[in-house]
Amino acid sequence: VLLVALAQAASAYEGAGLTHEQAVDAGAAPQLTKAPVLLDFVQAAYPPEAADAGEGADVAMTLELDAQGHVASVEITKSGGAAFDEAAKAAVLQFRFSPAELDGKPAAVRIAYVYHFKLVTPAPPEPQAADAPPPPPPVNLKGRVLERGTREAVAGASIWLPKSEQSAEADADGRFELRGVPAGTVHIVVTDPHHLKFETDEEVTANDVTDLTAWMLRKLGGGYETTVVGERNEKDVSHHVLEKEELSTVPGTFGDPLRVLQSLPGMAKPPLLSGALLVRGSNPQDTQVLIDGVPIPLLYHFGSGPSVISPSYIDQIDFFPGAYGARYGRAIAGIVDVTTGGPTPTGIHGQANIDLLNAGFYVETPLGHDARFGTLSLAARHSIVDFVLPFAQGIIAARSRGTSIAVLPSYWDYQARYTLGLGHARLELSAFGSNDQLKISEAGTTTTQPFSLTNEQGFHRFRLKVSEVTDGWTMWIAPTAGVTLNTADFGDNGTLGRNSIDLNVRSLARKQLLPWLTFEAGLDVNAGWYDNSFTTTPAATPDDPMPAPVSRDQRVNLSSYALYSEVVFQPIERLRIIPGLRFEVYRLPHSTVPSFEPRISARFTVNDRVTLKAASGLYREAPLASQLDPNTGNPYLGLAMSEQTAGGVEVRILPKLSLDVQGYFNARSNLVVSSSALVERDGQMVFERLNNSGIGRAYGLEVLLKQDVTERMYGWIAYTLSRSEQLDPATQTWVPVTYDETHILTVVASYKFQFGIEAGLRFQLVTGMPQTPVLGSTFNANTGNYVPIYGAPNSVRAPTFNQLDLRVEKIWTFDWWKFSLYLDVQNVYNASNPALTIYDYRYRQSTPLNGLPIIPSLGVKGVF
Amino acid sequence: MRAPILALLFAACAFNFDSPSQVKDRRILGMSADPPELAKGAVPADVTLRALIVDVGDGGVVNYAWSSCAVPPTPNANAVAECPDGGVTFASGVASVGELLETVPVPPTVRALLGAGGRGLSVQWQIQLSIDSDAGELVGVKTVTLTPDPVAGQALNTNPVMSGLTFDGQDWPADMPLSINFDSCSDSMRVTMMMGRRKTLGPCTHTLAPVFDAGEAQTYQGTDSTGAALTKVELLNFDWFSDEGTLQSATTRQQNPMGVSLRPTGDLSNTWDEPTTKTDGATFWVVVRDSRGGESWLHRTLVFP
Repeated sequence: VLLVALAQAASAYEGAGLTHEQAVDAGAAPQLTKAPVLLDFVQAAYPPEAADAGEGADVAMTLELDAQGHVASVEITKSGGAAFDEAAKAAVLQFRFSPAELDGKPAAVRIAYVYHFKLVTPAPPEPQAADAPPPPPPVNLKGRVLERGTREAVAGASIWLPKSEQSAEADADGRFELRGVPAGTVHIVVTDPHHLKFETDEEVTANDVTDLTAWMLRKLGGGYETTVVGERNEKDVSHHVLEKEELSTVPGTFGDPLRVLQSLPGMAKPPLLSGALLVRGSNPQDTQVLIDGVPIPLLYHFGSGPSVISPSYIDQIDFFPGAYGARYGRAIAGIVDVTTGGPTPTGIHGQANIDLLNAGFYVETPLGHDARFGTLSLAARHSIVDFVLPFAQGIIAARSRGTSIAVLPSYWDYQARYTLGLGHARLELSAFGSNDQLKISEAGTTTTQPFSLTNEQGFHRFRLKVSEVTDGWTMWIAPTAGVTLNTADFGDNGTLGRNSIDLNVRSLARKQLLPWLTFEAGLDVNAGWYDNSFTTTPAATPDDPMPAPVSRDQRVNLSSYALYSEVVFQPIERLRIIPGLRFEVYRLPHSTVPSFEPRISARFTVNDRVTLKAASGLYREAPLASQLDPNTGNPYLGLAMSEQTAGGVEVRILPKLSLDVQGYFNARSNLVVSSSALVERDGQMVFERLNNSGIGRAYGLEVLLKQDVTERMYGWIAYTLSRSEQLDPATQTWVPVTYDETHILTVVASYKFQFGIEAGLRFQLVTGMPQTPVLGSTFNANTGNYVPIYGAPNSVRAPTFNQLDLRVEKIWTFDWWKFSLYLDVQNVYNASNPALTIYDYRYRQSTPLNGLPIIPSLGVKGVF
Repeated sequence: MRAPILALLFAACAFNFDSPSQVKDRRILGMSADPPELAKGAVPADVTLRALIVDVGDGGVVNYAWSSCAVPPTPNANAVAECPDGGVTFASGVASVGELLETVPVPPTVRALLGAGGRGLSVQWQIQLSIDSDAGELVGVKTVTLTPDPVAGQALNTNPVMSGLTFDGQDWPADMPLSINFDSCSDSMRVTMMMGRRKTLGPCTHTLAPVFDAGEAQTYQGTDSTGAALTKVELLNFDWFSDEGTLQSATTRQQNPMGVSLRPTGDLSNTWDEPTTKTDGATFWVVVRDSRGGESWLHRTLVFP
C-alpha cells in the first residue's frame, strides 16, 4: 500500500530565483505578474520493488511549462534512482498548471519541482459506523517550520512521527497540526529537500497542545528557482546582468556590488585612485549611470570610494557596454542601470554591518497583514573613518616637525522606498541621496598662512512611480526631482559652487499586439538648471584697501526631451528583430538641436545552445554643464556622436556554463576636445578653450565565459581585446586615447565550502595605460618654472597591471538571524603596479608612482 | 572602495628629487628684457636682454645662441610656444658663465601689431636662449609683454629691483664675499633633527632676506575674478638658489589674498642650513619677478675660512 506525498507547487516558486526577476524596473524587462498554479495533479506509480523494500526517495526536476501551462519538458536535476525518476517523470508530464504571466500575458516559464516518494502505513479500516461518526481526536501537537537565519516558512516540509506513523505537511505559512498523537515522548522528524533534516523529541500529552517550532538549516545554496525562459533583456546585444550573490562576494570589491562592474568585459581598469567607468576606452562622462532609470552625478563616494548606494539595497545591475536599445540615451558609450528593491517582503528583514570605514543598516517590512498597507524599506550608511582618523592624525602631527595637514573625509547615504499595491496598479515612492564632505586644514608655516578647505558634494532624488498592468498593457510613469550639490569653501579666501536642480520624467507603455509583434514606447525627459558660482575676497588695492567680496553666478540650463519607440518583431520563432527610434531634442545654451537616433538589433536562435546576435545604432550626448560655462568652457559646443555596431554569438555550453563572444566597432565624432585657438566672441578675441573637432574610434572583441550561480560556486573569465583611438589633428594619425587598454583579463571565482565558509579570488591582468613621454623641458623665464617637452602623444605605456584579490567569509546561522565575518584582501602579493611617472622640477629625474599596496579589510555583518 | 581613501589618508609620498634651489650643474636661472613691456606708442628700436647662467665650480665657458619669433599666445600662462623652425637667430657665441647681455631689434610683426592697437592679443614675442651643457642643450624662453591697448596714464612695466640682501640681519655687500666660521653657532641657531624619537642638533642655520623698496611697487590696471576692471599692485616672487647647503624655501612671495591655494604670509626671508661637511663656501642667487614679465637678480658669495 502506498501513498505519494506531494511537494506543493506553490512552494516551488519561492526563493532567490524570483528575486531578480521581480525587481526589474518596469521600463526594462518583463515582470512575472502571475505565477503558475498546479491545477491537475497526477499521482505517480510507486515503484513496486521500492515499496516492497520500504524505500522512499525525492526526485528533483526542472519543468518547462509552455504558455498554456502544459509541461513541455522535464529535466531530472537530482535523481532518486532510476525507478523513482521514471515514475516521477511520467506523472509530471501529465500535470497541468495555470499559465504563468509576464507583464500580464501568458508566457513560458521554467520551474523547479520536487516529487517526494514516501511510504506510509495505510489507514486502518473505518470502523462500522454506529449512529454517528466518532468525533476526531483533538489537536495535541502543532507547530511551524521555519528556516534558520531568515525565518521564512518552509512550505511543504514533511513532519513525520515514526513511532505512531503519523505525518503532516507544512502549509504555505509553514504551519502544521496533528491530532491524537499518543501521549509521551514523541520523536519528530521534519524533512524538506532543500534543508537539512530536523529531529527532536517532544513531550506530548493527550489533552494539552504541544507547540513546536522546527528551525531548518538550508543546504548549500540551491533552493527553488523560477527562471524566465529566454533573455530577460532580449533586445540588447551587449548586456550583462549580475545576480545578487555575484554582486556581494566578489573579492577585491569589499562587498560593494558596483565595484563588480570593473570585472566585466568592456570595462577598462580606471587610473590610480579613480573609480571612473571607462567603457570601451571612452571618457567617463560618455557612460550614463542610472539608479532605477534616474541619472545620478556620481557613483562612488569621493569619486573612487564606496558606492553611493547601500549594497543591501541593490537588487540588480544592468551593464550595457554599447549598442543599446532606444530606451536609453544621452551616452555615446555605455549604460549602467542599478535596480533597487526586490520582492515584497514577507516579514521584517534587514541587516547591519560595520567595518573599518563605515557602518550601515537595511530594513524592510510589510505594513499590515499581507502588506495590505504597503511595504517599506530603509537603508542608510555613515562613514566612521571620520571618528577614527583624528586620533591617527593627532599622533602623526605630534611626531612630525613643522607643518601638519589634517584631512578629514566623511560621507553618508540613504535610500527609502514605500510601495503600495492598488489592484492592477502599483504606487512607489522612493528617495535616495548621498553626501561627501572633505575637510582639509593646514596649520601654516613661517612662509604660508593657515589654510582650510571644505568640499561638500552630494545629491538627493525623490521619485514617484505609478505603474499598471491591464488589458495586456504594461504602463508606468515616474517623475523624479532632486538637487545636486557641489561646494568648496576656502575659508576666508572664498567659495566655489556648482549646484543644480534636476528633473527627470520617464514613462513607458508596452503591449504584445500580435503573437509576433510587441510594441513599446516611452518618454524620457531630463533637465538640469546649473548654477556655477564663486565668491572671493580681492586683493587690497591703492584705491580700496578693504575690498568687499566679489561674486559671480553663471547659470547654465541644459535639458533634453526624448520620445522613443521600438517593436519586437518575431516573424519566426527563432528570429527576433527589434528596430527602434529615439527622437530627442537637446536644448543647449545657444541652440536647440534635434537628434534622430535609429537603432536596431536582432537575435537568431540557431538551436538550444547557440544564439547569434547583432546590433547597430546612432547615439548622441550633450556636453557637460561645466564645459558649456562661458567662463571656463565654450557655450557654443554641440552634441558628440557615436555610431555603434556590435555582433556576436552566445553558446550555452552546459546548463550553468555559457560563453558570450562579441565584436564591436564605435565611430565617434564631434567629440569635445581642448583648443588653444583664439576666436572672436562678442567683439572680443578670446581663447576658444573647447570645441567639437574630436574624432575617435574604438573596436575590439569581448569574451565572457561564465559559470552561473550554483549550489557551491560561481565565477567568470572576462577577456577584452580592444583599441580606442583618437585622430591627432597635428599629424592626422590615430593615437590611442588615455584609457586605451589592449588586453583586459579578469578571472573571478567563488566557492562555498562546508560550515558556512565561502572563499573567492579575483585576478586581473591589464595592459598599462598609454602615456606621453617627456623628452626634456624648457625654462620659462617669465614664471621661473620648467615646461615639459612631450614626445608623441600616448606613444608609451605603463607596465602591465596585475593583481590578485582574495575574500574569505564565514557565516554563522542562528534561528533568527545570521552573522558573518569576512576578510577581503586586495593585492595579495603586493604587486607594485606602477601607474604614473612623477618628475622633478625640470623633468630630468623621474620615479614611478605605484598602485595601491596590499590592503586587508575586516568586516562583520548581521542579517535578520 | 575603501582603498583610495586609505591611501589618501595614510600614504606618504616621498621622492628624492633635487630641490629647485640646489644648483648642482649648469642652469639658466633668469632672463630679463628691458623694457619688459612694449605698448602702442612706446616701441623702442631695441630691447636689451640679460640672462643669468650659473654652474658649479669655476663654471667655465658656455656656447650660446639667441633667437626670437612671433607666435600665437597660449592660454596657459606657464606654457611656452614652440618657435617655428627654432625662430630667427640674432646672436650667438661663446661667453663665460655668469650674466649674458645682448640687444635685439623689435621685429616688424610686433611693431605692426602694436601700431594697429586695438583690444585682444593675436601675437606674442618670444625670445629664446640656447646654451650647451653636459646634459645637452638648455633652452630658456622669455616672453616680452605686448600691450596694443595701453591704459591711459598707466606707466609701462619696469623690471623690479632688489637693492641688496641681508645675512642674519646684517647687510651683505655685493663687492666682497661674506666670511663666517663653519659650524660655529649656538644650539639655538642649529637645525633640530629627529632620529627616531631622539632629537639631535644639525648644522647651523642662517636667515637671508631680500632688501628692496616696497614703495616702488607699480600699480596697473587688471581685472578681478569676475573680469571687472581693477587697479592692482605688483606682488613680487623671490626664487632662491645656492650651490652649497640647503635653503628651506625655493620661493618666497609677497602676500596675495586672492590666491586660493596656500597663501604666503608675506614673510620674504629664507633660511639656509650650512652644509653638513665643510666646503670653501657657497654662492647665492636670488631672482625677483613681478608676475608681469619683469625680473632681475643679484648674487652673493660666502666663504668658510
